[in-house]
Amino acid sequence: MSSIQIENVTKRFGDFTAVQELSLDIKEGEFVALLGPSGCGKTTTMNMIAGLEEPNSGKINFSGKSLAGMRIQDRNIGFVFQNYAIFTHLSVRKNLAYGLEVKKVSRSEIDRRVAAMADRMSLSHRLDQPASSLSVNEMQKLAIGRSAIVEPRIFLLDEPLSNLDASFRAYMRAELKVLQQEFGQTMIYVTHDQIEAMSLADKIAIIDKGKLMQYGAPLEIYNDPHNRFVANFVGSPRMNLIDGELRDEGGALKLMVRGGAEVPLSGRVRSDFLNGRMVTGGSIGIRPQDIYFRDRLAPEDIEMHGVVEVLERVGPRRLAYIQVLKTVFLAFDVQDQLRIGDEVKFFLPADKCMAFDLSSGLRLGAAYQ
Amino acid sequence: MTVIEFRNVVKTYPEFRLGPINLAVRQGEFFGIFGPPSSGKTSILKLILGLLRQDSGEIELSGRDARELEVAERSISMVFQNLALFPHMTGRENIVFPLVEKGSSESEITKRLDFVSEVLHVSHILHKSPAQMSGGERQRIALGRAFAAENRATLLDEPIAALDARLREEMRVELKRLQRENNQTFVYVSHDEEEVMAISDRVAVMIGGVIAQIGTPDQVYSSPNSLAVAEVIGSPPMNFFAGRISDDGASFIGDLLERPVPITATGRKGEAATLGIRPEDFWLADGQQEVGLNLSISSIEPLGGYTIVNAMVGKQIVKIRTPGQVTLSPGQTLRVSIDQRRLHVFDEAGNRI
Repeated sequence: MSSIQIENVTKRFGDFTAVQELSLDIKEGEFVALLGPSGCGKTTTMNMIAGLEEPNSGKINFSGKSLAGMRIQDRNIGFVFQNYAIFTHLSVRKNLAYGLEVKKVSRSEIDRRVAAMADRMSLSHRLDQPASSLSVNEMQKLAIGRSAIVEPRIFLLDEPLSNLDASFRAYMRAELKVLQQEFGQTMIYVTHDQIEAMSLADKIAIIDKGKLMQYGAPLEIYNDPHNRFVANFVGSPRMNLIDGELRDEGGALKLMVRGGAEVPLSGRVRSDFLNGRMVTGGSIGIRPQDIYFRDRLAPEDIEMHGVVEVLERVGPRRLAYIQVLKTVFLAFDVQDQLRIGDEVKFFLPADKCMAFDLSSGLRLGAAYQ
Repeated sequence: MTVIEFRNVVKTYPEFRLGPINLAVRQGEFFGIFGPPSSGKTSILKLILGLLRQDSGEIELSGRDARELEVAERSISMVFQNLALFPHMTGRENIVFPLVEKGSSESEITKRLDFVSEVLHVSHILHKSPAQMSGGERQRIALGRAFAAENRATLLDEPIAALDARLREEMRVELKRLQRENNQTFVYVSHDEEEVMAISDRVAVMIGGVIAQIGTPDQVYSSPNSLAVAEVIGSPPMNFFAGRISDDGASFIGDLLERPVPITATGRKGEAATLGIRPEDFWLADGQQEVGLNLSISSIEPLGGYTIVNAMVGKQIVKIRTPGQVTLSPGQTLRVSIDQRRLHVFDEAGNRI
């Protein structure tokens, strides 16, 4: 087990800066997700932790000590990749035992640990079959099992679930979480899927264009995003982010949206904008589940009118796309009462709307400030 | 009007049998085909395209026997998962490719290109090569090529599966909009249940070479007609409890449930059965509808807008989806109630009761 200190690390490939002055402090036994879109630098960051890449500047320490110069195989780091690296010509048993044999663990200990891991991964009945006979789902379980069995002090996983089908992904998420709780290893998990990051990690590092956008516990990030990028990236369905120009009409502050929609601002979101620096371009963020229909619940809530354009079934709920001139708001049709083409009145609760400065993307009036 | 119709279509492979398949895709419909890998989805697409011929049964395209139509005469376009754009061609050249192949006139090509560029908003990227485009732009060019020649229907085989999660959500809405605004007929194949359910007007659920259920997403979600469909629709998946129907047919007696659950199955008294409860149909509260499940929390997945609680009863895992954020932690025990209006009961053969 080990803690990891990443300090001001920069990695360039030719002219391209993959990671820029990134710092992260990962405590012993923590499960940290590196989350971001394709090409954001998350895999490069992981590769530097693994020792597969050297940073151009900055340093990475493990429990305060540098591992520079130490061979990768001596670093005691376990890997699981999207494309499960397993020996398909060997049996499931041999695959599980491989890492322990390399480490010269005693035969009886190997047998004990292989049996325990096979049981935990529900692969006991498959132990003597060739790995090539396994399904895609079972292969990934085997890949995770054979890395976990050597109990590396740091476990790195690069999109390990992205090839699996949806219902199995949900199952493996829970399985990985329990595994980590049991072994207590430091785990770094690379993903572009915010649901995976939210459900698995103790902390999430959100990365965009090589820069750290926010680092914190899943619900901290969800409830208090520091900038527009994080607000947009975390949460499913995504947060409504309505961009426009702020206009003061005799004390009444409005957000004028391109395409003609106007959002009158009141309550907390209004004061967040007014207390911010002199902001001209603004963005308001409101999560779909916070928008409500029918009767106003608070005097400062913002009333809007639009037309239902699309209804989608997303899991147990129906998601409505409501068009206000050229702007679309996502909201949940909780009571299955909307029809396509309906003209509807809806409310944005003012105390749940977040304010962002459009030019810098920074949050105004966040709890952390 | 029916654009594509299958009647008792069977195709046999050495180790797999597809069908008999019965389905009818209507003009202007977004028709989804969902199924796990190797359930026969792609075979259906190949039969529609004419790349495969059925062993028995009829396939009709707009009322004409498909056997009379060569592949090129079928007017069916296809968009593949990898989009299959020609890397050495610009966006424009990729879009007009099928028209050039067909030998369309210069003025016809210009007319169609203008139309496609307008509906797909691709005018500004026509000069780029695929390598210079974003994932979303590439998808629009691939769709443009499918739309270039007027067609009967467009088949899409996992067209957005390779994209990032967030981009996939955006593309899904975009696809739906394009299909609706242009009154196109789409047949959309995917193994991603959430995606198919969100995007389709009607869904066919395929399991082991046959269509297990066809219906609107709402119908398939709220009343799956078999255990097999219930298992694959919904994420996290439905929870199942083994047990039997009581001797008076008025309740379900679960092996792991301390209390009988009221149901109506008077015709099936005393039979073995399975009770299905979706994760969102549990409430984290004691009460009238308490089912008597002694749950021990194993992990919590906080997703912000909702929370998934994984809990154990004996060796069985139970997944509960609850709105908002909770303050529970692993190791705690839990009592839950259920929404009795939303229960699913299946008989021994797996059919819905």
